[in-house]
Amino acid sequence: MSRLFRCIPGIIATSCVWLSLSWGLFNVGKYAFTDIEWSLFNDPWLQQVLLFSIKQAGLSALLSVGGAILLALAIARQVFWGRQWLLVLLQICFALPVIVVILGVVQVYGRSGWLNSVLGTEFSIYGLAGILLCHVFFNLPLATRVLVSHLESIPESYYAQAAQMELNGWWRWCWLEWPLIRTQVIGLSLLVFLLCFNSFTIVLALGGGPKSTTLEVAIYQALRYEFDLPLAGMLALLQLTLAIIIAVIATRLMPASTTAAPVSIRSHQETLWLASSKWLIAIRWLGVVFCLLPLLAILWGAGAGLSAWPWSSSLGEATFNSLLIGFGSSLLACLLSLAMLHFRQQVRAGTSYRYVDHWLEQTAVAALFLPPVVLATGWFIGTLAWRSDDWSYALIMMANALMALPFTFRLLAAAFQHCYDYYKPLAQSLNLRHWAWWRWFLLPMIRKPLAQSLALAWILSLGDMGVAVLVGAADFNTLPLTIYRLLGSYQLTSAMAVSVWLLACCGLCYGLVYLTLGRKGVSS
Amino acid sequence: MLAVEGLTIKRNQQALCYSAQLPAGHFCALTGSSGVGKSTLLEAITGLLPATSGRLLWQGERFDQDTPGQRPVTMLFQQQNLIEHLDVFTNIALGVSPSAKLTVQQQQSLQQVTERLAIAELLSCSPASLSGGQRQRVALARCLLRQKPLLLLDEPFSALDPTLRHECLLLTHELQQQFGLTVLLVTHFPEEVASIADCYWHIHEGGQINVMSQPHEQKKK
Repeated sequence: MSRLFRCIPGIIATSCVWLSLSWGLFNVGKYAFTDIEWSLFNDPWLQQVLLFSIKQAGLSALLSVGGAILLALAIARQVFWGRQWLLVLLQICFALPVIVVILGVVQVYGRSGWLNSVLGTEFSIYGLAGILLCHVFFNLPLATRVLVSHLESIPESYYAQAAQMELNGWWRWCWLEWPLIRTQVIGLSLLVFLLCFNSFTIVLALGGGPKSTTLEVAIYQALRYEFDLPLAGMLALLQLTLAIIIAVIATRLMPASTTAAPVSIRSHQETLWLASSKWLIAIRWLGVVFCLLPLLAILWGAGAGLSAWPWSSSLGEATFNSLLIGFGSSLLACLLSLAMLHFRQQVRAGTSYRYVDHWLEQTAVAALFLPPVVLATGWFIGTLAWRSDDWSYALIMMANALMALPFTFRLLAAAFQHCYDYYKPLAQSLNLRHWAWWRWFLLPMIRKPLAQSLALAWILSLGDMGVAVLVGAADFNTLPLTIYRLLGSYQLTSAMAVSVWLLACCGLCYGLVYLTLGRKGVSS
Repeated sequence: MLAVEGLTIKRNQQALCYSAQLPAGHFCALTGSSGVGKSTLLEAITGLLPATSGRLLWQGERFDQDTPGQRPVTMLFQQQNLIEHLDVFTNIALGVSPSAKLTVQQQQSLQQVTERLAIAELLSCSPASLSGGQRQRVALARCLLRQKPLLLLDEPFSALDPTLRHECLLLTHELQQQFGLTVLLVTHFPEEVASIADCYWHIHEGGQINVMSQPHEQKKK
């Protein structure tokens, strides 16, 4: 009886996630199936949209993972000053607000950007090129970090053998590196494909015209411009089906622990794995420049725009909204994760835990595979009748929490398991249970990952725009939305000033969480 | 002859300085208490550990500036001699050619050596499916096919049970005779190689080597 009682928070959390997911999907399906137009599939417009969605996602995956392999080799095979900093830079790239990156990319590669003014060319980034640039900016660092951590885990004994057998350069790649990262490369490619297939904000901002529109943006247009609910439902269902197919293939091919693989420092002889090559150095610098340029562009642009600082009451309101939604969603994501992990430990003490274990994992990562726009579409349709600004807050908070859940769950799961494995017997022998267990063992042990989770969820929510665009009322304002609107009205300097403000907010939240929670963490 | 002349290696702020000579064709047992630097000496000769000063010569020619692959040396470790994701054949063939593509002649000598070591049936297996003794014999086959005159063995059979260990030692000795190799073998049991070894190197603190023709008397406890 008491065990069942202790499972209640976990059961509530899991049902909460699945209810909100299925409620969204139900609303999408409801309209899609009332009025099915099969002729839609013969529509050349839809075919083009579908083709472009797949094409941009495929190219993004190819470029991101291909580039990541080269950059990962350049990092893993060499010792250089600032190696740790480069890895931190790659991590930052992944967590940056999408709209800020778009702005940076426009500033560097846009029509009147740095590249064009230096080269004297007329390269336009609206369309496929811009979408690819942004997607690669986000996903190349992600893939690089995963690959570097796998390359660094190659056993020392392999390098000792390779040194004796003179397996250098190409042959080392053939016999050691490629076989060991092959499964990662396939899994990562599918993951990046999926992320780009589900990407919304980038295509919305840089898509430019009907030629380069994806399903996601088509859903948005059907919903917010044409108010064609059955069409939006149909498109959302199509998007969902394709996303699920890719997700199933990806989970089959990719081992579970890749997203949170730690980057280790090798202890063995540097001389064994060191490979000096001009190509690797060139690739490394190319990677650094590619990641740094958009960031520098924003700082530079904001410096120029300080005189026209767009501070106003609406910016204050946007800041307040963003911070509030971020705080709520990060709290929600962490509470959901904690409840689910607590549930998992209760179940693991029992007999038939495998099934529930699997189910909890799936719950946590579901939001990674479900397109947020599809979800938001469902919620938008569902709340049409009784919607107000208050509901916007709640919906965006929930959607952002679900988007952060895969990351917070993974971050906390390892610390949770570690604590249970090492201290549960001791705690039991001391008869420290319930709150005493949480207070003396669990909370001190998970303090650091908890701080990381809160900070990450907060930053992800601060940077998210897609859900707010769909669900929010017309005058609803967040920081990314402000930037998007400024960008839309070609006020680039103001947009960049707000971007820096948004980045400062991200840094502020990160610092706040670390000062309060992460300071005295137990390092494991 | 292998000549080690004042070979100095820095290890944890302590400098080890080795000097000794080993005539070609000899089977030498390397002894000494654990942590004294036996493996360090072998890794330095192989080129896996950089030496700060000193010289290494084989038949009068210096090789301490060469890369590990160019040296007249091949080394068998205590364990982890194989690359787990490659099959036995590739593991052995890589010692001969970096592309693992062998000429007919190389193919034949591979066949002979693997038959001699009773692992010819295992060529398509993965290392994970082999026993400890089989794994070390696969690694030994690779060392032999590399046709380097100096074979360094770092407690190669210490993970095996005593009977198997003795068999493997006898086999190594036979192969040494057949291939005309010079062998340096680290062991904790000098009495086990008493019938095989031509000489003994006993290492003391700081790397000082006593060359003897009889096993070093262990202090009675």
